[in-house]
Amino acid sequence: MKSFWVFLGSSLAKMVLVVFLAPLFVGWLNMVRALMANRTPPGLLQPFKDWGKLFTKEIIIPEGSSMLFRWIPRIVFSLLLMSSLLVPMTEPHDDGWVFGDALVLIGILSLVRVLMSLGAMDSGTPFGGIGGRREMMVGFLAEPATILVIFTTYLVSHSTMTFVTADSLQSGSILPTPSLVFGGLSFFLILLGENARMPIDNPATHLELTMIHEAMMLEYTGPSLALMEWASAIKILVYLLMGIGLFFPWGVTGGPGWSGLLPAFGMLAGKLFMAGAILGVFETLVAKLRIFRVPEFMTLAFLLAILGFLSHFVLET
Amino acid sequence: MTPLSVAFFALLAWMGLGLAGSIMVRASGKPLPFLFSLSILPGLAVVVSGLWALSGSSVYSRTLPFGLPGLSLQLAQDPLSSFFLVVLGFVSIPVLLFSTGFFRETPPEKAGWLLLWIPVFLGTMGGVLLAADVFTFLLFWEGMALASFFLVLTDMEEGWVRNAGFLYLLMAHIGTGLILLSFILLSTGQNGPGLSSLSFEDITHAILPRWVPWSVFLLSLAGFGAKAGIVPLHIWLPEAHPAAPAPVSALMSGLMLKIAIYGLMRVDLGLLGIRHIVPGMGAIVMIIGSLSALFGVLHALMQHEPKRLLAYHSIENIGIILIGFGLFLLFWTTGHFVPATVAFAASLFHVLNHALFKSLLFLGAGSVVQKTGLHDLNALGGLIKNMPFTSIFFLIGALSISGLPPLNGFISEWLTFQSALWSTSLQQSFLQSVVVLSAALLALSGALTAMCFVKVVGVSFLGNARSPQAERARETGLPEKTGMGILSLACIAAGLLPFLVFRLLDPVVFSLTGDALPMPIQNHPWLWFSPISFRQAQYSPLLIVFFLALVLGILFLATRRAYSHARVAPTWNCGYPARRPRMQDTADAFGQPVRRFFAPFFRMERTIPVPGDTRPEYHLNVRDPFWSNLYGPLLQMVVFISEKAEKIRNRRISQYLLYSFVTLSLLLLYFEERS
Repeated sequence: MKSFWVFLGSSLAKMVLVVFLAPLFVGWLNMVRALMANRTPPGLLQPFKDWGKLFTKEIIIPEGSSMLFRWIPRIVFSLLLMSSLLVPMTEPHDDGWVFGDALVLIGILSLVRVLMSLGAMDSGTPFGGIGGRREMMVGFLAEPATILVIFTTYLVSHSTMTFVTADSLQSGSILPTPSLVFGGLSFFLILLGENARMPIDNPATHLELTMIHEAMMLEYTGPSLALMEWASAIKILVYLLMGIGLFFPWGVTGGPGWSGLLPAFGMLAGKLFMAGAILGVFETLVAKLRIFRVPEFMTLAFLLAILGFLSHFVLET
Repeated sequence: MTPLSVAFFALLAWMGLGLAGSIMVRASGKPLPFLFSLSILPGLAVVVSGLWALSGSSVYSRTLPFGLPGLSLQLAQDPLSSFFLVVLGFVSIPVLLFSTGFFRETPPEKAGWLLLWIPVFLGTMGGVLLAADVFTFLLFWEGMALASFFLVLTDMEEGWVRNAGFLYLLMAHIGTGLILLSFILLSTGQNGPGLSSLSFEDITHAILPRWVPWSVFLLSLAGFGAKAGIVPLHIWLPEAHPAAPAPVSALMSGLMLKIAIYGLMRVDLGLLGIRHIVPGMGAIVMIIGSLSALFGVLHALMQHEPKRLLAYHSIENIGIILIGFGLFLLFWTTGHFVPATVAFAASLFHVLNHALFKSLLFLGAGSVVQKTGLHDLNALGGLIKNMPFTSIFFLIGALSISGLPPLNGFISEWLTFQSALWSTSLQQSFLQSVVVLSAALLALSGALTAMCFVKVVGVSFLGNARSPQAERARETGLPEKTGMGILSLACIAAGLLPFLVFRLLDPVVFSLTGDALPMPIQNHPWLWFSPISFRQAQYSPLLIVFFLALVLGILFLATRRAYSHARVAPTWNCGYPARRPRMQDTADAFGQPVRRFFAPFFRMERTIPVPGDTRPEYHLNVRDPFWSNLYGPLLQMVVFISEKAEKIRNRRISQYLLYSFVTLSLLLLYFEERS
């Protein structure tokens, strides 16, 4: 076990890295989406420019809202940044200092969801309430599937720690097993739902009838809006890192010591590059679902997770 | 001096204080709510007694010098009862403190009534925990049912309160009848010599006929389940909890339901003995638990009366406790001792958690109802501005019950999942699928609970006030705030320092199973919490809070300037002339997607206005399907049978004699046949 100070230092470094990697990923995703739609893409650094500009603007608080509304952007951002410590990025070794497993991570992400919805309700506007309600709806539809995905990955490593799962997968064969393929597909659908991506939610529009995530963001301004947007970017990055750790961990460690760090970063950048491309292409190709079709989508995720779980017993033992 | 005598005298003190309190109120003609604070002392004594007994592993017993002829009352305190005593005593203290302020304005006759029955209720609950023979158990059990029945009837001048009270009494007695039957079956064991076999000690060692364990198991599940509120015996809960005053609901939901769980554990593990349990029983408990959890939370989402909503959440939480208990039975009987003990610990942990956060939520809801005079969530809103303390405490309770880290509700759900993961090592695929589906249902009900409490907190405490009463609400008094504050702190403490609770659980699990919890030995038990092994899972709530505080502190410093210059302005309302509070989302709107996705769980009546209607009206009435599908036909059947019986009742004396003669002859024939 490392000493506490080494742990603190590496955690801080990791969080700083996540803070800057998340906007880069969103920038890349938006570039892919623009290219697919035949538009001239914005630069990779566009999110930094947008949010940097927001940070110079003033904060406007809606009349009638409480202290909760002022604190929620900061709490949500901190929670998501802290949760990035629970997913493997470049060091899958279980060094004894990981303070939560995948279930804890899911719990923290639910806490984020609850707080964001409460913030939306606190603005006292009709849209805020609708957004909060829909966000919670997507959340409860995704939760059973998420648990089953974790059950499936538990079959591989007999652990719910993302680091241990990544470690034991990495030492195994590179050929994917059927249970992990189904589990990974299910996780992909969950990721789309939980991060307000197409076909569940369209991050690019503000149409009253359909918006979920954006409806909760409407009343945030200036730095608080920037924090919320940045937090959402961190959230999608955390989900992707979790998916990478649980399903594609190969190459997360290059080797022991500092010299292994560089190839690991290379692999990580490559995987995120691919993930952004796949997400961007997928999002452009599908149409948004009606809000009441969302249960069917999430049931599909649930069924895929069950298939993954069962195929372990049918095909792999 | 033993822990048992401390607990016993505390119970006597509660009963005595109840009598003394009501006499003093009657004599003085004033409500005297401060008298509730005297009952805190026995509460403290009960906690001390429980902790003291849990520090060792011995069983204390005592025979009282009175009771039935040839059968004096027997008391015993083992780790299981000690744990429940700790829960009972600990929760009673803040609730009693709350009561000293809450009943300030109560008319004297009602205050006297409450001062009599609340301590007696607490005392009888303690008596159930200490009882060591069937007679004592049933005596206190009935006392508890009656005391709580009287408490539900506090506002008996209202018709619906009386109806709720009688429904509760009826269900309580059906339950007691079933429990009595299960005790009778238990005392038919082979070495049970007559009346003395009523003591729990003798029942434990009796050799039972083959068919008895299953019957006892089913009868006790239904009997104690009727009290605990499992589906479909839950119907009294949503009626009785809104009828009772808030502290009474807090005690009933927070503690009395747990006493029923204690009874179930005592009969299944103590009296029946774990050797008589088969995996099928565990599966049944799990199925009933999962259904109760899902059904409870789905109906809670439909409610807009805060206490009714909380009552449905009690059904859900009892379901979660039973999922843990069922997992324990299932794993233990299939020989997987590691996940079994963890599941048992999860179940007991949730008993404590539910006692803490549910009483907190009931007290918070009671304060809101008292200060606004409104029973409808849809008329509230923005209370956090006028009632900041109540709102923050309620928010803590809401986050706890939603099972979110780093609070306490998360830990018991997490432990249940950690145990359920071991389903992969079960041999039978039926049991395996029961475990996996229960885990999925547990996740679903957890997420639905979060949605439900976003609704409660969002609609009642946040946003803008929807009525003048909510606008004018005032904060509750100091005793109320202190009571809720203690419970909130306990929720946070149990969430951040779960090992403290595990210290209490370890002797309980050890005494009932003979197996210790599989927690790995470690240097810093306060920091790292790992129920099975570090490799399977570990959790450190303190580190989560540490990193959260670290990042939040940096962010606070970075954005302090921007937030101090923040401008408050009305929101843009898309060009409509006025923005009214009524435009905010309502509690019913929150339930709409759930109503749509889970339609078979509800019985809905809706009137939707047609286009062109000059006076459009929208009505929605969601009801419990068990009323129309189970209890309605049952009621009709009872009425039908009694009408038929009426026909043979009103006859001449000669016919009555004929009835007696025929009955006697049939009985003689039957016994002739048997001998």
